[in-house]
Amino acid sequence: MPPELLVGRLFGVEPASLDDATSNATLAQWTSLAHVNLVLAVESAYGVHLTLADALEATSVGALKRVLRRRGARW
Amino acid sequence: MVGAGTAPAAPAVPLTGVIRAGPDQAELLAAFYRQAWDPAATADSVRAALRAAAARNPVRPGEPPPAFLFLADGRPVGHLGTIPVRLWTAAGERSAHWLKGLMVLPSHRNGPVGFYLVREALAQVELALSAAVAPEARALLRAAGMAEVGAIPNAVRLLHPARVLRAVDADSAAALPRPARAAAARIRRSPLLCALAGAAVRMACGAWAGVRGGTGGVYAVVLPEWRTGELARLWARTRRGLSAAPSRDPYSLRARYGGEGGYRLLGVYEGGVLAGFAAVRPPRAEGDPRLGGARVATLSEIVAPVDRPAVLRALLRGAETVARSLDADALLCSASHPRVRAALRRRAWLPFPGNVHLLLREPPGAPPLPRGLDAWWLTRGDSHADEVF
Repeated sequence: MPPELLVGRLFGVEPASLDDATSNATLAQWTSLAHVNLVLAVESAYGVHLTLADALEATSVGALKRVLRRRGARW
Repeated sequence: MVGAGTAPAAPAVPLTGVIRAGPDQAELLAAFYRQAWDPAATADSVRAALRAAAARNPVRPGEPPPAFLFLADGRPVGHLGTIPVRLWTAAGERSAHWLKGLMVLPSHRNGPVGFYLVREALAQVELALSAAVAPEARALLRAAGMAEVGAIPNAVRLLHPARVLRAVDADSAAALPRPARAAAARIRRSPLLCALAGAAVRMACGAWAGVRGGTGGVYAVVLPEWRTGELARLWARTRRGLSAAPSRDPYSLRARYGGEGGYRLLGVYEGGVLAGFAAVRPPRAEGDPRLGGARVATLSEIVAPVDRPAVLRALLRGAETVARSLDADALLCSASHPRVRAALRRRAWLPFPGNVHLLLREPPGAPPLPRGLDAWWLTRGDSHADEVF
């Protein structure tokens, strides 16, 4: 599943409106709690474990993809 | 395995994660405080504050209260403190910690920092309490494992209604019903109407309080000094009627109201015995920006046996007098217990919905605490909640 789809579903926004620059600074729905839910959803969807540093880094769609690649996830 | 001292030291890896921060981390705490709250904070000032907090820690005397920092590559970007308290329950006293001072630097908001700070704090303290206002903060606390008990109801006594009417702006009046909002807008535009409406409200409140809120000859006085023995006996009598309450023993009261804040302390005496205590926080010098600069004092604390309604009303009347002497336009109180709320109504305080929410997390296996807010004796002073409403 493309990360944009996961983020879009989780935050209730049209996935097509998301790009790598979409971040917790640009998307109102991307709150602290939503971010924690995103981390949990990502771990479940891609079968990876994100460290605290990963969670801290993955605050944009582009950064999330970078973290996922580093953890060996494919979509 | 390489023996110690035979190999070059590995480069320190900057830590990302949550640490418990005490005197050994004073430099990190000071670095965070400088960015978040106090540009003048230093490691020495942090150590001094930790020593003072340790000295008044009622849970582990002599130890600094637990505090936590979230480090990102070794830099502090988030903080959560605690305030240790003794909690009175029907089954006896227990130790608890208010979670307080959750702050994340703007550069790291809307990320995982707050959640992990709360989760770590909950892992390290047993019984945790929190007073939160913002829906986001409450959701975060719930997600980390806390349960919401309810919103502590607010009440306000208008002391200078005309000044409040003039000061309150459209945003502040948004909570009023639509007809009242429209009327308030019309009144605000006219100084004459403001004065007339203010006088009418003042007379109506005074008449109501005179008829319904009498004190039967019981009066409050300003306490000139801390009377530890009298306060201890008062708390021992008061707590017998309560199911759950942060302790109001004299040491807790003094730690809360005896230092900064300029609190005015009131007592009610019956037959030479201290029968009630209250603390009033003066208005800020610059007024309250949330109410258009109106000067709002706060009734931060009220302690009296629940079976002495006349004492409660006498404390309220005394608080109103003190607030007027401080040139306050209004006096605010958040109180959970039905007996206090009843006394507030009888003294013509206007109720409005609470926005400070109590949340708690109990350790597994412990006797359960009441889950209804009516069973709790909470006032605005708990958890330093004066700053939020």
